[in-house]
Amino acid sequence: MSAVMFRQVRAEWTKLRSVRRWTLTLLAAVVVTVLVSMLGASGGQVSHIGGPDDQPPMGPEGKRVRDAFQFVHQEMRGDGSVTAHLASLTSKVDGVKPTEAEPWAKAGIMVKGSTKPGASFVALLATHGHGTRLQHDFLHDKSVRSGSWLRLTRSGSTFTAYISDDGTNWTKAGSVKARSMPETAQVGVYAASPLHTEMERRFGSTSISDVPAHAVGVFDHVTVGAGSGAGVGAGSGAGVGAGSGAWTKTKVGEGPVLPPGEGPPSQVQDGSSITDGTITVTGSGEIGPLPRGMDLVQRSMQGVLVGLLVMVAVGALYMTSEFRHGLVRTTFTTAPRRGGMLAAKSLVLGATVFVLSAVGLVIAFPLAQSRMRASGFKPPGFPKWSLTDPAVLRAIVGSALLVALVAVLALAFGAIFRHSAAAIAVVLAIVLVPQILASALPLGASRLLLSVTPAAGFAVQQTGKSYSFAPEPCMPDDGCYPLAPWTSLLVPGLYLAVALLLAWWALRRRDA
Amino acid sequence: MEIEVEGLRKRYGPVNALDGVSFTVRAGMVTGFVGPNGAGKSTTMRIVLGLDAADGGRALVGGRSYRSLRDPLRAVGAMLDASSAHPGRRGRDHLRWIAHSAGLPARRLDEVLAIVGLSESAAKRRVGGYSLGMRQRLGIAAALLGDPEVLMLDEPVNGLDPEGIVWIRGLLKSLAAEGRAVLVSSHLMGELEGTADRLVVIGRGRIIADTSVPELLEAASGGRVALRTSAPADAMAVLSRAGGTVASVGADALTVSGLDAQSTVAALSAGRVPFSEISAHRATLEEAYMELTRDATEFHAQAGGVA
Repeated sequence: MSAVMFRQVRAEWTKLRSVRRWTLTLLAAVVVTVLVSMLGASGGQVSHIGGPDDQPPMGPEGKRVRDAFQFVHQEMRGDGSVTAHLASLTSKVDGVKPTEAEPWAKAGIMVKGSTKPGASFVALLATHGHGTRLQHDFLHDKSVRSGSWLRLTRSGSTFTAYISDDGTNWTKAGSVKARSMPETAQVGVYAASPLHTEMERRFGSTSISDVPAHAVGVFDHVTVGAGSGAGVGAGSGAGVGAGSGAWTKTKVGEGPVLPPGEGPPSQVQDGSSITDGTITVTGSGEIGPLPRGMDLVQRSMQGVLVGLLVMVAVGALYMTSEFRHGLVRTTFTTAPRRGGMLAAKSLVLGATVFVLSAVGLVIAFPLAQSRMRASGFKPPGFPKWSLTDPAVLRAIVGSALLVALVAVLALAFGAIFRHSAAAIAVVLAIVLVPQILASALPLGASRLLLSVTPAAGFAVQQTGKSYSFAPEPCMPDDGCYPLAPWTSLLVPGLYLAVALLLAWWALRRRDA
Repeated sequence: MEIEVEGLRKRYGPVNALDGVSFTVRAGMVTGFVGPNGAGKSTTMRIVLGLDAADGGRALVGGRSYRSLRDPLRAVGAMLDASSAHPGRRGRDHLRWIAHSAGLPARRLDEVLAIVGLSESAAKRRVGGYSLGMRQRLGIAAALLGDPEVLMLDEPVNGLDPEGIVWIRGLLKSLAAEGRAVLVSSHLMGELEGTADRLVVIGRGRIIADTSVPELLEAASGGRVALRTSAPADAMAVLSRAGGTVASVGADALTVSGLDAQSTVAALSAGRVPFSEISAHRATLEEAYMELTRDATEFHAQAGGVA
């Protein structure tokens, strides 16, 4: 920092702290952040049913996962391959609309460490609505080219997927490394379908209903061959029953359970049948990460939004008071570099707001968490979060950064409009209004809104990771934002950069 | 260090605020900058300080543009508007941020507060509670912070009580005596009487006169005759017939131009109009100023004072 810049920063800091009303308002913002966070955390009540046995299975990467499907398999030792022709894939959804289909209904071939839920796996599969995919170990998914012939070849822990349209000409579709695949693995064909979610969103209300759904996969030419990828097809001859042994039918894991008494029992049952070289697998369930569930971290930070309102007002006034009181003339005669004043003000305000917001959240978070635990949001049903968790730290630092960005945005608009009401109104229109509209608009529109307005930055508070292949409703009102946490801050950052450029241009060009 | 203004032009929409303004403010004297409200005084000062951009011409301080000055507050101290401080800020804090911004030591705060006569307790109060006179003193204190070689004060007498007016006249004179260039604006010529060594008169964006005070008075008095009479109406009729132009300046006082004292006495005697106290008129600055702004271009040609 040059000496001149340092002087200007010091002068602007003196300005900010010497107006008592601003100091009080800034402190009020901290208090409001804490209070509203606590109030927001007080709502809701849960009573946890069941014990630790109900825990979902642990995946190979140490994360709890969902693992339920219908599997027809046999043992394969060491390297080898599995090939199948998927003759048809049908999605069957219970309920009144027979035309409905679940886009994530899937059937394909799989190599899995064991039939124990949570065991490492590699699968090449077709879906009803999302094309052909190569998935492994619950958290990894890749879209590949489509084809009705599927093949997975194992070489050590490396698995290579091949696709063919005719069973003769194969193209490589990708290869992955399984996390912890034992020497002896189960290979075969499988089918699964998540619950079908019907969501209706009207202005002000959302109704979500889950109905049971099944995937029916019909396979033929299923072969299991030994050896490292060589001579598949020649491997164990044609037809079922080849390979190392006879086929076993297993229902892996617990399928999705609907609350008791909700709807009639499903018309379709899980199961599988083997006739004349054709294997038909009917399965329900989901293989993938756990649904994000309620974001307890985000719910502990609801005060941020209200604190932000107050900070925006201070940010706008900090700039517009210069013009209102003719102070800007003294400022510019003292330091004629106008961009320097803008930079110094932004720096001082941004840093002050960041520190105050962070302090507010560090106070608010443990208080809000303890209130939520008192309401029943506690282990084992819910994770226990503390300030030292990286995700929590990221949410706090990110939120404080977001508030600082928006406060400086208000300052920049103050320099453009030279009018506090106009500056505050514009900032609220682009930061708060999308938040409010998002819970009312159709899902597509609200996701768009939360991707292109500065409100996108609130994604920095979310701790649940979003997986595109794990179908679940992602609604802003549940704290699910379209963008990834840190990336999302780029959006308000970009708005700020443009606003600061405009402000700089306006300050330089206009008479003071 | 001097202020040199050369051919400044500035338009605000359809209004020609400055139309070729040129003058020089010299070191070691107080230059009065006078003109009616809206004549362009403040605009000129803002352009000198680099706050407003001129449409033409240039304004230099010590040979450089204000914005290129390395340490502007040590070169020029300015008070443009007495209320240009945030009302929620203490007077002392207002001076403090300026000192920080200009890199001046904190002891200057006490020094300038003492010079302008703001007490410690007044400096601790918020500017919102100041009287206009206190705000003027605060503004002057801010202008003096950098111990500048050039001072530019816009209407500093405004709002001061009689004691304050006496004080500021003394202050301006002593600042000039220390060798500084002092430019003081006012819309009332009388405020500068006895203070300004030189006068720059501006009207409608043009310089009407740039002259020393005695010269201006001389020009303004221009051969007029003052007289008292108990019959002003008769006197006016008689003198007009004799070829004079008569103006009434009081219940029984008239000034006559176009006739010298002798012809006036002759005309009045011939007309049997009673009179007393006839003398050559001595204009006040106020009158000179009225004269100037009433008939600007004519005087401009006569005095030839525009630089």
